Amino acid sequence: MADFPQGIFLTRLFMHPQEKEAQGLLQNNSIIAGLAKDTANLKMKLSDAAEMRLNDYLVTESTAPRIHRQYKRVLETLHDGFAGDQRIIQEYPLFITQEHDIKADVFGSEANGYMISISSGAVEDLTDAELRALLGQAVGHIRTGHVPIMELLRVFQGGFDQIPVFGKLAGDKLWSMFSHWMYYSEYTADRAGALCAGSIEAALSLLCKQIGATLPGQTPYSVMQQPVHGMPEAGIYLVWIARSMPVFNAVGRMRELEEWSKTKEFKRECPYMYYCAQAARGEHFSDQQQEALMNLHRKAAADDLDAIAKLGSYYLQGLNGLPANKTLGLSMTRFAALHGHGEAMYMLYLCSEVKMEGAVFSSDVSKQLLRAAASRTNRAANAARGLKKKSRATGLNALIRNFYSDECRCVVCPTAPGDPIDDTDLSDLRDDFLMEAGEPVLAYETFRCEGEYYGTALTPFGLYGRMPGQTMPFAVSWEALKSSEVFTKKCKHKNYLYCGKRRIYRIADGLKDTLGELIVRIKSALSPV
Amino acid sequence: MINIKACAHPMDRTVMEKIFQSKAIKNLTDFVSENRLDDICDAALENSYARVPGSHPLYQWLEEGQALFGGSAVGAVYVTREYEYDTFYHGYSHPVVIIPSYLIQRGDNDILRARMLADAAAIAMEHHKLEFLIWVLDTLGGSIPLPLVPEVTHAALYEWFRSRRYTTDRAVWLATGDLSLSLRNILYGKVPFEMLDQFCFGGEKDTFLAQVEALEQAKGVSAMASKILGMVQKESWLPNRYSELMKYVQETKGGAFSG
Repeated sequence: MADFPQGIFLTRLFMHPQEKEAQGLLQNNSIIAGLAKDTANLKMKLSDAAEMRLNDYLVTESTAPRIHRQYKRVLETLHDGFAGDQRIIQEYPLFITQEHDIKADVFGSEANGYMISISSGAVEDLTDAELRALLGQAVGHIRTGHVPIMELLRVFQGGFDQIPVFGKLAGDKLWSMFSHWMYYSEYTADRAGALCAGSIEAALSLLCKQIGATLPGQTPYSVMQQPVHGMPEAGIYLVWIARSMPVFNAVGRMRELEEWSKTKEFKRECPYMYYCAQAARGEHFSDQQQEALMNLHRKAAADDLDAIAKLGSYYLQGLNGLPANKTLGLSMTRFAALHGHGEAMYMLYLCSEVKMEGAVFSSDVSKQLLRAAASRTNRAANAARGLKKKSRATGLNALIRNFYSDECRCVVCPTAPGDPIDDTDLSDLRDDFLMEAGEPVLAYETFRCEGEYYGTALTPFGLYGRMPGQTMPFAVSWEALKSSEVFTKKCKHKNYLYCGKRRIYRIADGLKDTLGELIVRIKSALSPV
Repeated sequence: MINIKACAHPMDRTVMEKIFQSKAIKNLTDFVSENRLDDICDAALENSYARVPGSHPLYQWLEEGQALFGGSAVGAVYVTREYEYDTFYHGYSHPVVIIPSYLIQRGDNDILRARMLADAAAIAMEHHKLEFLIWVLDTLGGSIPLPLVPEVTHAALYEWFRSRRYTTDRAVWLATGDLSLSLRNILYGKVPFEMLDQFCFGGEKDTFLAQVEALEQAKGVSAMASKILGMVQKESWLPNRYSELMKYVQETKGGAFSG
């Protein structure tokens, strides 16, 4: 299912309104505030944090790219504010700890630094969106200042309750404050997680997976409907009862998230998530415009490209009652464009023309977008009239035919003259690489990397493709290939063929017998020494 | 109807009869009642666990057990994400059963039925009440001003933890009449599954019996080690559960075991 970054969210949006009061009461108590500070500092010196550093697996871009990518997205969503134009993104060390439960923990203090650990169970069993929800909870705890109080609670739950000062507190109403805060702080963290996930459904399904509610017939909505009675005032005892439950108040937390997703504030600040949540619940609006918007969101969530493109343009421009959200609008438009939607391609081209943040492309890419759009939609055709016609290289067919008829024929290249080519595959290829509809393809190699298609294709007009790490595909005409240097170079531990500054082909086990070798031969043929 | 209290293991029966007469336990029960810990726990469970859908045959098997053994009705069956194959129960006045998702997902209905029958028998014996009180002591630790429970020493409590399993193992056999299933239920989740089915339960080719006999005939250090382990283990050693059930079956059927 497509999922779209929706921008950044400030703490005031996700902090539960009752948590503020509960946290304030705790922080304003001099005993609690002092104990929390001392506990946090003491904990960092003890073995727990040191043990985590030594025994658990540190997540980095190269060691765990999928997790790191999701983590980065979470940090960008809940970032620390701006320094001028630049976002301040503080990254905390993230560890994976070998544990079957699905959980994340936060350790540390403001002074000594925070650390996050997630369980291997979470890594294995969660989707990307659910993983972001879990990491978002952890980062949300840090951003809202929960960690010192959480560290203090861990100490209490560990049995340090015989120390006289704690005994004094035991009889005090402060324990009620702790128990209230325990509820609201988790509600706050859940909201932060949902925002990072980009969907209420992902946050709900995370909680379901955490409590094992994955049997046939169990959905978040069925779980939320199970009968419950109100919790009597538990005071001091809740702190320990909570510890004995694997995920305390999981069902209550799901209900809170669900209620929050129905509020006017949520609709105003997160309209995409709001309408998707309404659609998932099967609810209807009496207002026709609202109903139409909800249906559009439902379709977009089901990967309907027309719906995605339409919503993308609404969010880009703030149309049809939706607030302008350039981050969301652009990500939806780009998604639709890279899946072959002509109108979205044209919209993306227009964004690049006005140099919209996130759509600043080179002129080559802009032209490629326009050509691709013009071959798919009339709206772009007029604008494309002024573009210089692409020139074909001559003699390519013969060269390619000879290459593939040699005994050293490349076996990984899925196409060669005479080979049957699946039309659907070719159509997808043209969409992924922003080629013109119906553009002839002479040979190609593609591969999947982190769930998306990349690779290189040869056409009579040049090379098209997309390399890992590139947000947009590239196009290199044969003229440009002729006049540029072609060489191999390593980038992020992988070897690539370069044309000038541009990566044009990923080398797997060497160039011999691959499309890369063919490109080099073409280069030699075009610019003989 | 099966009178489970009459069929219970003697140690289990003795502890359950005596312990609720002790003053300390009465104080603890009053404390639970005054502070509504029962209601708090019920609410915490309802809000923290997901119910197994009502259409699952687990409920039907629990009702079967309740019809056979009597005792409180089970309010709900909750699922938990645990890499475990034992069920457990919780709550004082309104007991519930909690079952690991991995046990359900294995789809072994015979074992699931055996587990539910065992839990129904445990609830009929009111094991859940004692377990709840122990949970209160464990969980709330030193935060509540209660005296120790002198009438029940630690050793006796550990004996009870082990002997309650003997009672529920008997209950499974009494309810199903299937010795092979009852023995398999003891070992299920405790030995690798690929080995489980190689055990020839019951009959002359029972390969587990040899281990049990070796345990019973152990002398010297082995015997001492076995005794010491016996004092500190909360769960009965599998060969002990196995031999306890076999002894009971032989005593009940009279004479040699016929499988």
